[in-house]
Amino acid sequence: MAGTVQTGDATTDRQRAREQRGIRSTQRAKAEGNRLPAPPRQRRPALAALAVLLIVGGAAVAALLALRVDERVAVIQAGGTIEAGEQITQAHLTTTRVAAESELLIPESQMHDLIGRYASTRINQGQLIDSTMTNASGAMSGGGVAVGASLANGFVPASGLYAGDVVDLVSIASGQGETIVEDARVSSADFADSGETTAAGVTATFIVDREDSAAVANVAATNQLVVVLVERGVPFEGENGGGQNGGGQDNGQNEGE
Amino acid sequence: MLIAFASAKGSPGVTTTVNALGGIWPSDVVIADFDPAGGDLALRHRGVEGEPLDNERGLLSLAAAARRGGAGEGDLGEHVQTAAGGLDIIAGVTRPEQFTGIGAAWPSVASMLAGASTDVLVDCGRIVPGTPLLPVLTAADAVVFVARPGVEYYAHLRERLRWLVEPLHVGEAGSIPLGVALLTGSSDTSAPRDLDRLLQHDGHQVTVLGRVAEDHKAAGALAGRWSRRIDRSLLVRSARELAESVRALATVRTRTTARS
Repeated sequence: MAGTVQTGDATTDRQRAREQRGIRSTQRAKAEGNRLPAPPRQRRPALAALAVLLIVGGAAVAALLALRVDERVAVIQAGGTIEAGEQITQAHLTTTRVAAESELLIPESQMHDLIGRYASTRINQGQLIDSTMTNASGAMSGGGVAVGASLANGFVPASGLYAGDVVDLVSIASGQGETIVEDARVSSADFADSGETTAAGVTATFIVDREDSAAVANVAATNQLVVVLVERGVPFEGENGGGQNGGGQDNGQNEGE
Repeated sequence: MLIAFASAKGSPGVTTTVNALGGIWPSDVVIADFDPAGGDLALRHRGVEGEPLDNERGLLSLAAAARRGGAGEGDLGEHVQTAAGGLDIIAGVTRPEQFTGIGAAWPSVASMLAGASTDVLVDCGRIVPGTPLLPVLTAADAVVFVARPGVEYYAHLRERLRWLVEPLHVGEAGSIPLGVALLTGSSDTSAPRDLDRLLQHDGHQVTVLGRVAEDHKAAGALAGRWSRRIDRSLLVRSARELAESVRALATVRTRTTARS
């Protein structure tokens, strides 16, 4: 312990400079019987500023990361159930905020592009709508025409008809059932309140090829049209929907899957 | 009150002990660095203004004044330098050969210190027979040896005490009381008691005053190597206890001489 030489390093010099400025009074120290070296009172503003900067910077980076991790965007959601083939209106749509990476979801800003398109498939209430679920042309494209028919009870399935259903139209005019249109689409079906068939029956609109339309109109007018439900909930493929071809062919594909 | 601190052999920490005692001494005190091998205090400390202490002002100027015989007793002022923190220091020599030059002035120096108005703690360094510091020892109110625990330290301490019996008139009425302070680790509580038994068994009239804690960090701070708060360190706390017993030991002598 003896024989050590003091090294006048910068810290000690600084400390002494502070003592010199009167931080500690020599006279008072003597009176207290305490002549020990003054405890360090090192002030380093630059270091303190750096510390504060690091703390604030770290907090800012952490906050930024937290916000980035949970970045949500408004996308379009079905506000009500949209049947396959139904034209989409403003009333069908609502928005919700989700954290999404998918390119398929449609942001809120493109809602006006979506209105007027047709649902390719049945879209349930609350489902997020993506760009594969709609097509531009709907059922009427590709030579299809709409034929209305009023159908009595017993001529339609007991479960009723819904827009988008794939049906066969069968004529009973000849006494034997004869399928006059295969795989027609129900464009709309109007039945009384709760989806139950009533005594008045169902008024439905079918999309059929133009050459079949006269035959369908004929049997429909004479109450000789029976509707056979083939499929329900099959995505509706328009001419422009995903570059695929018309109804019958696609239905065949879907059945095969 | 003049108290001399010394070591029998080696460097047990006399300078640090004197420095720590000076730091907490309850009354006005000057610490003097009379180590024959060269002083440390002037190198360890700096002045109040941050300037290095003056080597010439201290033991050398004191000896010169004593040789001239001009300086009156109690007038240490011009040889004392105040270090940062408020500790009054009489700086030692820088080279051992300066020490031999003081020679015949030692008795005068000793009497000047003994007659000083403040308490004086003298670091005498290592004491061997033939030491020029003998006048200081004989003028002191108490002589305190600092030692470390260990058979070899005890052996050398015993020999030195035996040698001092004659010059200090140990055993006679009004003799200079001898004390020992042990520099031990904080866990070693039995060493002072063991040493006391050993010395009593040998028939030495020596008081084991207590212990100085071995506290390198506080010692480093005391020597200016580090900046840290040490007023609650083991070293300073042990020094406070030791200061009381050292003062008590020296007071015995003062009282006895006053009576005789």
